Amino acid sequence: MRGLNFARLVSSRRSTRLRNGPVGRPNTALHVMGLALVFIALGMLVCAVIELFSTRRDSGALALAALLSGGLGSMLWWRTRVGSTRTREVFAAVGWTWITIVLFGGIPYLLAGTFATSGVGFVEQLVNAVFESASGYSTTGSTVLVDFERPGRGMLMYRQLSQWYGGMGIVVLAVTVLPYLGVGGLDLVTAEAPGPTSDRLAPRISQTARRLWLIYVVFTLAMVGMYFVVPGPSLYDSVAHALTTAATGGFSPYESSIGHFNSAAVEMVVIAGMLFGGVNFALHWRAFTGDTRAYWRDAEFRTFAAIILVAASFVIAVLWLCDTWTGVEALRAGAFYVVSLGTSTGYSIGTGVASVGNYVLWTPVAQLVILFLFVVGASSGSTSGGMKIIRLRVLAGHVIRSVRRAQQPHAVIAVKHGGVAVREDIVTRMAGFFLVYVLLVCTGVVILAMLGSDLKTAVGATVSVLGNMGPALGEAGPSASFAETFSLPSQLFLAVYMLVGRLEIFPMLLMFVVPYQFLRQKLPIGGYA
Amino acid sequence: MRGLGLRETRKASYLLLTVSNTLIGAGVVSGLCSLLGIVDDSGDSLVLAVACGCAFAFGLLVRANYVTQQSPTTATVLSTLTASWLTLVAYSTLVYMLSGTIDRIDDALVESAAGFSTTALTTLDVSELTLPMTLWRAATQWMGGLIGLVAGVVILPIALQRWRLAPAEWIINDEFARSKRTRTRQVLTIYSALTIVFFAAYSATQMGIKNGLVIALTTVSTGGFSTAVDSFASFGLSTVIVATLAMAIAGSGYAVIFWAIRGRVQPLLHSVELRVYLLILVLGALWVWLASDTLAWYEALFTAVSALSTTGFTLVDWTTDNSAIAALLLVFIATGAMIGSPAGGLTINRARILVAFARRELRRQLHGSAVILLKSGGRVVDERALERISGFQIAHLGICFIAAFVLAAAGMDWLDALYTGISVLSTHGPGVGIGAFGDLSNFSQLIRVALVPLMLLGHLSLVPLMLVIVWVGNFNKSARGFLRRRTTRQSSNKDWDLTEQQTMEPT
Repeated sequence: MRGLNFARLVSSRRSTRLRNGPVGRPNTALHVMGLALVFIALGMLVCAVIELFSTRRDSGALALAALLSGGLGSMLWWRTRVGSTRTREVFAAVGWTWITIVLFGGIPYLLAGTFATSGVGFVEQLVNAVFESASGYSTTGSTVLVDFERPGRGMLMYRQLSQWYGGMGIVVLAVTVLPYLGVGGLDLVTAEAPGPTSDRLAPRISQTARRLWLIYVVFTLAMVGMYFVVPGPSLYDSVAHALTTAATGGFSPYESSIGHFNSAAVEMVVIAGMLFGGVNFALHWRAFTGDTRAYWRDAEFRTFAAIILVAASFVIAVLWLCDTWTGVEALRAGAFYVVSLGTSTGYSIGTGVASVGNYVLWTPVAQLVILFLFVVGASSGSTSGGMKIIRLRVLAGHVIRSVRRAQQPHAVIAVKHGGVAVREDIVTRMAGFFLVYVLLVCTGVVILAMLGSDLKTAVGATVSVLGNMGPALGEAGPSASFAETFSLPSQLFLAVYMLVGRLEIFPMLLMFVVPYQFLRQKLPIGGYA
Repeated sequence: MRGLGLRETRKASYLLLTVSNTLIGAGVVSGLCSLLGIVDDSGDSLVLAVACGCAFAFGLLVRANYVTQQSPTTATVLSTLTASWLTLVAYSTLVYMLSGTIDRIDDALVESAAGFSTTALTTLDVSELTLPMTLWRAATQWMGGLIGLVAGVVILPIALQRWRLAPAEWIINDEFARSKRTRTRQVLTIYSALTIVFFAAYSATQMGIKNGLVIALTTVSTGGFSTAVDSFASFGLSTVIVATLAMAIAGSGYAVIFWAIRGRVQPLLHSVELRVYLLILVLGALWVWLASDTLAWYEALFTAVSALSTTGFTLVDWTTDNSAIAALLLVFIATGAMIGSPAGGLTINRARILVAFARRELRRQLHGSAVILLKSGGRVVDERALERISGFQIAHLGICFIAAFVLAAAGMDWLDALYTGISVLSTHGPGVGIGAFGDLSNFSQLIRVALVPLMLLGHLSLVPLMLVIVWVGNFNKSARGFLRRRTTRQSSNKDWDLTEQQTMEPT
């Protein structure tokens, strides 16, 4: 959705006036924000209808939230137009739009009293709503929902839909907007494979965005079909899980997530869906248009496949040999969790106290593999989170080059990705990204520990939410609710980190530049008039 | 030796000569420990004396047969550093075994590695040690600190100048002498003088001369071995305050001490790294104090200084109760103290440069084509140097993760493994999992042995890793050369066969 806005923003400067009318004030952030609000209002409205025809508990709340969001969004959209599209304005638009979406996305939960259990005050409900909304739109999948029976089917579907919106937005953001700004890994994809690549799926970025939308919708529909075909899930379940599988989000209408079905067939469908969602969507487009070998030509895909295979084999072997579970249990749980966490989806299975699905009970070395998967994530240009494999590859090349250059100081050694030299500024940018990531992890761990979490939970949760995984380690494992594990300030902090992770750090850090400059102009602060 | 007529036949070997010199140095130190401890236990003193004799004999034999190489290659220098460290560890292992202080060879190896890597981990019950062995144990850390210092300040910057291994060091080391010999003498003088000052300061407190000497040796090297099982918990307030100051001085880098000795206030005031170091110390101590309900101000300060200087002395157990303190101290341990000190970790200067690098990349998001220079100490940091620092730091983090993986595979809990990996690679030692007092006796043999290579990597930084890469590179080169020669030979044979056939055909 946001990607579409940006596609419009970028590709149609000439027709902006025609589309938005001459009365709008030039303000890129507000214009994009308005359009985004209209889109999420539409989603709320659809879910209100679902609620109306099913449990009828929360339809009013959803409709009212849709009215509020849609009303404000329409007003902003019509009263503004795209102004400057300089980098700082685009960062501000991205960052503030996401924050607005998260805040308005929490209104349905608040109005419906989804978190209003006994002894929970308004402030706690508000924080819970914001957390759930942030977790949804950022496709993280962590939840503070304790009583899954309380919300109606429409509300639970809205929860699922929020992740679908988030996944779609991020894909388009990553593949269309960020390369335009010179951010993210798409320049590398261009460098990796000469010729038509993901950012050139079409001559215009708006066309690229539409094509990615098309793949996303087709993928979601295919997932609905696959879920519905296997025994177990109803049509409602199929739609609900297809939305979050395509987005690699991890929300489920059931407390026990995929474990609710207790079916190997369903788990296999989920694994296939998560793997598909973890691959660069540009590759899917190329395969869709007949170039099926595009996958194997892609170095990032090969690395992704290798990581998943090696990690899954290792975890299965460790669970089988070192822990007390049977071979079948080890196979099911090991493969499922490696794919679920390796693609930053975060679904879980059988999270009982002594269940193999509760991975915090696994042997420590297997948990360390999970932590590694939290950090790495999947392919760039996919709906998944984490650092992305392309960065891992380039950073590995950077390290090797550093050591080789120490031996041969004057040698000209290029970092290569898929046989093609990567531009120096991109290598530097990725090293910078990694360092900022490490700083954020350190800061996050210290702050969470200060807010009362134990060290294991603090490390696990920080890395998990920065990678948009969902379940974490320690006390925030797959069987835990974040409401019971974290204090309210911790929940707010984690909500911010989810957005930081989903927007790949820089937009969230740089979104304050425009407001700061605005304030500096209006107020007598700083050294400039 | 001249009489043996060996001088004419001596070969050149930088490695053997340096290793033998190191061994002679260790022999001298063990001889001194033997002399000082003879009043307490003559048996252990005898072992140390015999070890001293053997080291001298070996050293003199090598010196009689080899001369030093004038311009050693990069790989030779790296090999020499690693080999010297390994030789010392082997020597100390033998001492522990022969004296009967430690029965198992793996435990002796761990104790020796912890000593020479200045890591505050132990397998021993120190309350049962004899005086000669207590002194020897402390002396291993003293020698380890000296080797780390000489390697970091003298050998790598001078002998490997073409590598530009860690250009940030240049900035502070300009004040030192250019000559290798003079610089070594300066370092040795400062190191010895500091040891004597610390010894005098400790002895002036209630801890006594014996404890004072041992603790001074392990403070100046930022080692962390103590004479008590509970490290500093049983010492008085005056000792704690002296130790806090001593650790802070030991971690402040030899350029700072050099300037202070020379009475040069101006560079001290202008040293950004020193200001950052002191600021972090104060803020860290304040954090620890505020985060804890039970710690007194001096306990908080002691804990923060011990972590940042990677010494490893412990006053109170900070690993169990408060995760906020444990998290902050982990950041401190990973950061380490100032450049040019025996402390491990990333060092303040490199951390500053990396933070500035990250900030620059943030600014570059807004101004993609802007030329933004990074400065350190008023000088522009070379882009290639920056690239290397970031590359090495990423490698260091990768090694931390691999270390954690190895320790977890050996049976440690994943968080303990991660914490221990970072702590040991920073040559600190104690931490969550292992405990605040660095006692390894409760851990499996596998975990103890797995810590030895980590100590080596931590103490010699990435030198062993680079050595491996150089070896692999050289091996690849020779393998490629061999294959090329073989291919050439085969193709020439084929050509010959073809010529034969062609010449045969007409007939």
